[in-house]
Amino acid sequence: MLKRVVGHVKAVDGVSLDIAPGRTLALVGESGCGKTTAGKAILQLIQPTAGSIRFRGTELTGMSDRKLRPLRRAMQIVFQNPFASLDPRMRVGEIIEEGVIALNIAETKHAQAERIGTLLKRVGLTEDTLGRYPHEFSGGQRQRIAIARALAVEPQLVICDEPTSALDVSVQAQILNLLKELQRSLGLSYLFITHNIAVVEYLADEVAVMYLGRIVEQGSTDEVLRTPRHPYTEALLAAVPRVESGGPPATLLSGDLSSRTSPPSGCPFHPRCPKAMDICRKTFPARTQLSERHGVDCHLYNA
Amino acid sequence: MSAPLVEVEHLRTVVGGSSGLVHAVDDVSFTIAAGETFALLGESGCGKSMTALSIMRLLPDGGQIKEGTVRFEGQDVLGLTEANMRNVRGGAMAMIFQEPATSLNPVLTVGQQIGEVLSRHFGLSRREARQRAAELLVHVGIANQEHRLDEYPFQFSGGMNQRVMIAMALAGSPRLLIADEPTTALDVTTQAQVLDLMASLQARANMAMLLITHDLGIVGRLAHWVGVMYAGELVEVAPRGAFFSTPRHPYTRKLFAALPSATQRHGKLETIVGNVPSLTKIFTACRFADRCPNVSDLCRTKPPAWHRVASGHEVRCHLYDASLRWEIAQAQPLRRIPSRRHWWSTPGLCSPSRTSGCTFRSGRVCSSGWLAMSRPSMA
Repeated sequence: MLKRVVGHVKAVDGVSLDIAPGRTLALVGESGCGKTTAGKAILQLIQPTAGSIRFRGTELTGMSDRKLRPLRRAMQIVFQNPFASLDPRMRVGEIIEEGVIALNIAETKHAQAERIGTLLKRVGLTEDTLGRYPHEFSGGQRQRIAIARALAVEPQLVICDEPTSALDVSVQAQILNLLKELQRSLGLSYLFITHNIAVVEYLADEVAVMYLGRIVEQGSTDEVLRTPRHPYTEALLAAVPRVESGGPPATLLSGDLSSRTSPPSGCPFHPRCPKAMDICRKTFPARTQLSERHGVDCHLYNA
Repeated sequence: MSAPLVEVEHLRTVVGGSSGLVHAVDDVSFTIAAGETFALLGESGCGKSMTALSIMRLLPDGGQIKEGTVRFEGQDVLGLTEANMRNVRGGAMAMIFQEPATSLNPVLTVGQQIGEVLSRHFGLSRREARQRAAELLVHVGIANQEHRLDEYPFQFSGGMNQRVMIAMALAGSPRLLIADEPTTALDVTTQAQVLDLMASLQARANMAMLLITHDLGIVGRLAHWVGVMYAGELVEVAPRGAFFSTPRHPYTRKLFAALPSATQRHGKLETIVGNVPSLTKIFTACRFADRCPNVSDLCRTKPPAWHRVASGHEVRCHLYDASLRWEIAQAQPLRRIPSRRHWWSTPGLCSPSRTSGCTFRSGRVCSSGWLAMSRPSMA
């Protein structure tokens, strides 16, 4: 085997987040900004190099696999592409049961069947789906199966990694309704990874905007989306084509996301920033707290 | 409007599937004038891509154009021999696809791929082609063009690859550009750049554009005309302004209502019940009837005809048939507009917040196109 290390990528750098029970935090940013990596690190699917992740007060980093196992039950993930995330050779029933069996939380056979029955109803599928294979279902139905699989072990935190970006608008609406309804009835917390601002507006309580592995702005959905402070957030919001407005956006970002292996010095956004100053090229801006929850990493707001 | 550049009439395309013949495009007609963008809007499987591929005559195996004509600059495209079609395709008529990464050839440099078009359509020598290709790269906003020409697609980002695709399409100086979901694979910030680029290139070259998308936001930014497709047929055609201010077809209205937004935070999003019908069967009634909130008995027995509701704005729906209006009115109670979003808030509209000013009379269509079946209660 040949291996060649081209360079190391600092995928996520100095990210701090917290999610309260029953709340939704949206993590937004362009592809490659590290949002999925952050989600995986929370689930301990990737070991973070440094930092700490606490779940219900328990430190997860550095925990042995065996100790982690019972906690996995409480943290689940729904992936972006329901055409890739379901094993095509397994029946839907097996897919949903797998986690229950693997985590050893099965009750009696009868109780389990009953629980899966209610779960199916909850996500809007009929009982006869259990014996069928994923290829027999449409994208929206597959995403319902993926949600049922995540919920089968009764988690408290669900990481939703772009769960609707592969779906049509009308199907997206069904899945968003479902996720919202499940949150209400089960008290779930969501980490919602997305680049769709409309979905954030509709679903999230709080937003964190990521750029090149760092969170550059964070706060309540209202604050961040109505009064964006970071130039990147402003540009990101302006870039979203909206049905309400015609014509080109006011601020258009030029260039692409900078290289991850050799990120720019200072503020990572300065090569694309319309308001870049000298200091932005040299030092990374510290967090400025604009209100109790609304924080921004930008020299413009450093007093 | 001058004579249209592209005229598609009664286009009917079938694709042989494993479960029988799929009627992917069924009696689709529209025109596009030079310098204008016609957006085909619809959900996956509605036949919008098949319409584009029929025009380009690039149907997949098993695909066949059964009926209809496609006229391009007055010439019948469907009647051309394949050899003649090759002169048109990639020349006067070009196409960009959804996934730039998979539509470019990974083993040829960008310069070779653009050069291929130039030597095929204009007979340019290798040196001339290289020079022209470099100009095209500058045109689409790729700097350091001389160096970039010798690079391969994998060395470009997604947005840059889409620019290369656009440069390739522009190489033949097309009068019609077909863009099939050109920005679906891109990030919003990159998408904004590419949409902006397409709009400015179109204006400069006075190109006609057929834009295929499922994104209402992109339609709002680029289109002059909008055609909504559902289950293989067009159901509504409108100029952009009318489309966004007063969408008429129940399906179009449902699409708008399904969009998530902040104003709906505490409510449920509108969804469309049921699924898109299978396109293997022959329809004898309205295709949307089973999912329509305004369905009447008539919709289940007779396919709707086109009805003109305003200049250039046509809808394929029984609700707008003046001669049938009373019949439907009696069969159906008043339905309220399902959303309080602001594009419904036109004067005379019977929304919950505006009932006081409503001048509805039974059996009349108000300015927003909503049919009043009986006088609404005045709250």
